Parts: sequence; structure tokens; C-alpha cells
Amino acid sequence: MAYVDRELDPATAAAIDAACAQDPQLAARVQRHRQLRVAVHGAYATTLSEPVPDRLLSLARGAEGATSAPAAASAPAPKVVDLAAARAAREARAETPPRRAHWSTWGALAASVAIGVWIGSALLREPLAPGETFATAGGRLLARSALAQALDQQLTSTQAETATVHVGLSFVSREGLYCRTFSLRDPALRGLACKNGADWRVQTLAQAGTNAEQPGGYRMAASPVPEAVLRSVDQMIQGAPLEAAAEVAAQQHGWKR
Amino acid sequence: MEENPSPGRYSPERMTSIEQSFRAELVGLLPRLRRFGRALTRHREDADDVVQIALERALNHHAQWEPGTRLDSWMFRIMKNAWIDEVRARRRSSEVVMSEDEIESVGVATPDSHLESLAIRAAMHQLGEDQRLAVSLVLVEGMAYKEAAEVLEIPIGTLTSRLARARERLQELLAEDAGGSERGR
Repeated sequence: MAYVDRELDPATAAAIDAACAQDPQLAARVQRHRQLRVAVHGAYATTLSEPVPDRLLSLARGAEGATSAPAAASAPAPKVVDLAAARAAREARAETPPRRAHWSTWGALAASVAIGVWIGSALLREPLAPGETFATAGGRLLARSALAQALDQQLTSTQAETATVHVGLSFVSREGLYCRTFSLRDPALRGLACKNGADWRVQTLAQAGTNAEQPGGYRMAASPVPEAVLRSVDQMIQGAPLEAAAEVAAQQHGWKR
Repeated sequence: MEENPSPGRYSPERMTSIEQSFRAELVGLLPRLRRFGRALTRHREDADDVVQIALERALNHHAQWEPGTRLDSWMFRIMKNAWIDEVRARRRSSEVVMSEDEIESVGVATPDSHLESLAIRAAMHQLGEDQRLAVSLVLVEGMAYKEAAEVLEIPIGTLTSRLARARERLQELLAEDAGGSERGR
């Protein structure tokens, strides 16, 4: 089965190939598995090429003041049990404008925000000692020790769930610098830093939100990203966040362009 | 993939770029999500209902998605959970529903390939939820074992044994069907 699903390493797959050549019964079994896979996959191919219903498109797009088309009755025959009540409830939800309500916290923000260090009052009471996560130099906040290391080396695709520093997205800023979002466990902070010369300069720092109740039991990362960080990213980003391959390349180049 | 054209339906300049790219990715995923839904459910409308619920949950919890990580696995997991919730709700109300496919095929002359698809869909619906989820992700969606196991939040070993049993069952059901009475003459 794993052979037909292409889950085997090349050596094992080759061994099975050879075995099939010798053993017609094995070959027949493999062939049946292959046929089943092709058939099952093909049975749903039409759905993939169907036009996507309007109600789903507008929901995903967040159309301004959209009234989604009611779920068209596509079944030609009446169903034994009428699911209309459940469906009507869903349609009512779908037709409630504005769809943008989900994103109201972002949508309501003013367009221009000064980018600076935005820190919860508790943090900067004491002078920062050497070996700390941050250092100040020339009026700037710099990343140090574990944070700096994580920003230099960690990749979103390979970092451990349990790491003390978690890197988020990486992007190129309008100034042409590599920037990365990060989150710290203790203290619980999320921020954005850009590599300038030898240092990661912290552009934005905010207290992480509390861990909201996660319905459906999703095993998701951490807490919601603070608005201040999102605003900064939005202000600074040039183009789209880096994809995995670009992130690896940037890391290999020491985050210099 | 065909998209319904709807020019000027949204104002990109009022959205943040993160929101824009998140939504754009969601739109791109819709055909696959619909296909997944179709494999899980009996009716096309139910499939789209599950996709809609998943979209709403995703939009409500967008902040829990870490930009740079895989949106598709995240979305499939949300859909899986939405479907499981739906199944539980239905069990509570013990609805008995005749498959849309069965209705369509009664008394209608159907070409062989369509018959095969109907037979497969009917066989799929006879699988238990766990097995159908496994088959939907690996065989229909073409996911690797590791990814499917992550979406389902189960160990790979559990996934492969569910897959193996599901395939045996499907082979049995399809063999019965082929040898049994004609469907939809």
C-alpha cells in the first residue's frame, strides 16, 4: 500500500518493483491497489473543477457589504429528511453583512502609525543587564543572546514547538532590510526585528495576548498576535512574506542583502 | 479552476497586506476544500456547508495561524473538526438521509464512468468516519501520510492502519457492487 502511495524510499520501492516482476500475484495485488487509488481520486475530480459557489467566494474574500447568494438547491429530488432548518440558519449567517466583521480590529486602525518601540510598562523599569534578551545602544533596542541567535538561525519550517523563542514570518522591508517577527515565552512578548549590519534592531515589541480558548481542540501555536506587531509588519513590508525556500536562503546569507 | 467573476466586490486598499494574502490563499484553497467536503459528506450542499463553517472558523481565528506556516494543513484540520462536530450533531438528532447520489441514479441511464464514481461514492459513505477521513485526505486529496496524520492529529501508524482497513473494505464493497444487481439501469 505504501508503495502505491509513493511513501517508500527509492531503495525499498525498487525492491518491490523487482519482486513484482518475479511474482505475478504480488503484481496483481499492487495493480488492484493502484486502480483503487486512481478510481477513488477520480470520483471527486469533478468537484475540483466546478465553479466555486458565490457564498464561499465572498466569505473568503471578505466582500464589502456582500449579500451572498442563498445556497441554491442543486438536488433534483426532495430529500427524505429536510435539512432546511439547519441550512436556513447557515444562510442567515452567510448573509449578515459585513463579512469584514471578523477583521474589525484590523480594519478600524488608522492608516499611519509611528513605528517605534511599544512596550508594556513593566519591562523597561530596570536597566537591562548584560546577557539579557535585549540591549540598548544609541537609543535603539537590540536583540541579544537567545533572541538574536533564534533570529539568526531558526527557520519557521524546522523550529521546535518547545523553543523558548519562536520565529514567525520573515520579510523584506521597504528599506531593503530583512525583518522577522518573533515571540518569547518569558516574559510573554511578541515583536518585530530587522537585521541592520550586525544587529537585529527591535522595531516593535508588545505584550503577548492571553491564550484564548481554542475551540475544536486545535493544537495551534500560542496567543493572538498583538495589533501593534501586525501594524508594524503592514507598515514595513515590501511585497509578501518570504516563503520557506526564500527564508532558508536569507538565513544562509546571514540575513544580508 | 473556474472562479465566479465578481469585479470590485472588495476594496483591497482597506485590507492589511497580511489579511489580503491570507484571504487570497483561502480563495485558492476553496476547490480542494470543497472536494474534501464532497468526499466526507453525502450531499453537495452539505459539503459546501462544512466548507462555509470552516471558513468562518478560520476567519474568526485568523490570529492563531502563524504566517509562514502551512495554511492548507491548518484549513484541512479546521474542516476535519467542523465535520466531526457536524457528525456528532447529526447523531444526536439521528437523521436518516438518502444519499443525493442514490436519488440521482434511480431510474436514470448512466454511462459506465459515472456509474463507477457513484459506486465509489456510495462505498465511501459506508465507511466509518475515521476511515473515510483517512481515505479522503490520502487518496482523494493526495496528501502524504505525515501531512494527513498531522491534519487528523493522530500518529502515522494509526493513519496507515485505518487506511489499510478502509481500502480492504472499499475493495469488498466495490466487488460486491460489480457482481451484484445493476444500479440505475
